[in-house]
Amino acid sequence: METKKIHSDQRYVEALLANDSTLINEIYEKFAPKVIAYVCKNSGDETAARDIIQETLITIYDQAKTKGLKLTCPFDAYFFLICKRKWLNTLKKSGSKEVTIEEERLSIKDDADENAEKTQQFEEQQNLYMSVLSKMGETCKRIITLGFSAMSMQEVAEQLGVTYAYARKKKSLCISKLTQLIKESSLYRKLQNDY
Amino acid sequence: MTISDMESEAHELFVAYLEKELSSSERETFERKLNEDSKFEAEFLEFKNIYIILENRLSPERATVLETIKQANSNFNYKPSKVTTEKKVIKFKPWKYGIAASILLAIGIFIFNNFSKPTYSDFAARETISLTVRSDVDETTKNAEVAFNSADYSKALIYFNELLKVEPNNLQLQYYKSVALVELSEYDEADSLLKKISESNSVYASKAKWIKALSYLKQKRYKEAKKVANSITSSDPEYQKAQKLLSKL
Repeated sequence: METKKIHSDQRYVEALLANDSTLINEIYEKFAPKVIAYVCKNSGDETAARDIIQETLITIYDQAKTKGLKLTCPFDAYFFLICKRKWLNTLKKSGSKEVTIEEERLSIKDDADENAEKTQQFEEQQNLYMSVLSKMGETCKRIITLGFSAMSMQEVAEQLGVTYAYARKKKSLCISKLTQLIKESSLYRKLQNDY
Repeated sequence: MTISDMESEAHELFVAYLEKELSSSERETFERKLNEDSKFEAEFLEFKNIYIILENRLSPERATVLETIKQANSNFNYKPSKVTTEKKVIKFKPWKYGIAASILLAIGIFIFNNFSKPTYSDFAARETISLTVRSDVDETTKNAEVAFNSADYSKALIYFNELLKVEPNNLQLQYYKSVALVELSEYDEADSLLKKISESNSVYASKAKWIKALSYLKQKRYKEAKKVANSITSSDPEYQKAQKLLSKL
């Protein structure tokens, strides 16, 4: 991956990172129509397509922010692939029998496939973490959410009516518990192996 | 000590390191260990990987970007590329002119009658919200969304309160709660919430001002509504709506 050249469309990734609304609007203008057309043609509607697009964009942001995503292919192909696979997954999950799916082309894996796959794996990972978090006890959930909010730990402690030292300790313990739970899950191990 | 105790002790150190809470000598010791002990380093990297993903996922910065994406989504108008709808030509029969004229007259009278003062319902766009990015979020978030979108504001309020217990500083939740409060004419509570949001440094600040203006409008306190609408500057997304309101006040 390191040796491959970064595509100039990396600017769209940077736009998400910089919260650049002009370019984000441009992403919609340029790339959304194709996704919407695809979803509509395959048993979906515009609303479903818009949901998929939104999810994909924020996932790209997440991956860029935490893993330094570098695009080595055009944004168009990459973005469309993720959205398309997401939609196919949605259809699979809903288990509807009467779906029509446009045949998938068989081809050699290219850069777009590779980039899209990485993003999807990243999303699976992130979803797993959030779902483990959502299953934790209220105290841990609260201290972790507050602990990563804009609040300082001092403010968090005040909010919870505990001392600063206790809040720090508790946050640490909860994060530790959370990582242990994550690591114990079978999906985590599977994802680790896939990477 | 059990394995998980040892693990959480190590994790405590990891957190302290990542949050820059270690003294400079502790930091040095830690970094030396990272260099020398590859197993320790691997453990740390695995922990860090999970930590930063959570940190980002819950960060206010991410919420702001998500808001921009949602805004871009609503700005975007989808036009299917190949529109081949044939234009239907309807012949206009003379007697239809009479009907058309009376409809126009009715509309005219309607507009005239409503011209005097703008009302809350003229401006309060029933916005639909989407708090859920993923389909598998928790029940309360979904319930809040459904209740709000079907204009069942008292129910939505209950769910917002529940959600705010977990995330008291979530500006998005605070904002929608305030919209619900205005809809329910709970002005005092809405006011204090809106004041807080409009003083924040977020995309919700100007939105809150706009809701505040609408709240005054609903209470027929036109002077105050005008004042608040005037405080929405041209760089805010709500500027045009505010100007339109001002022109009618």
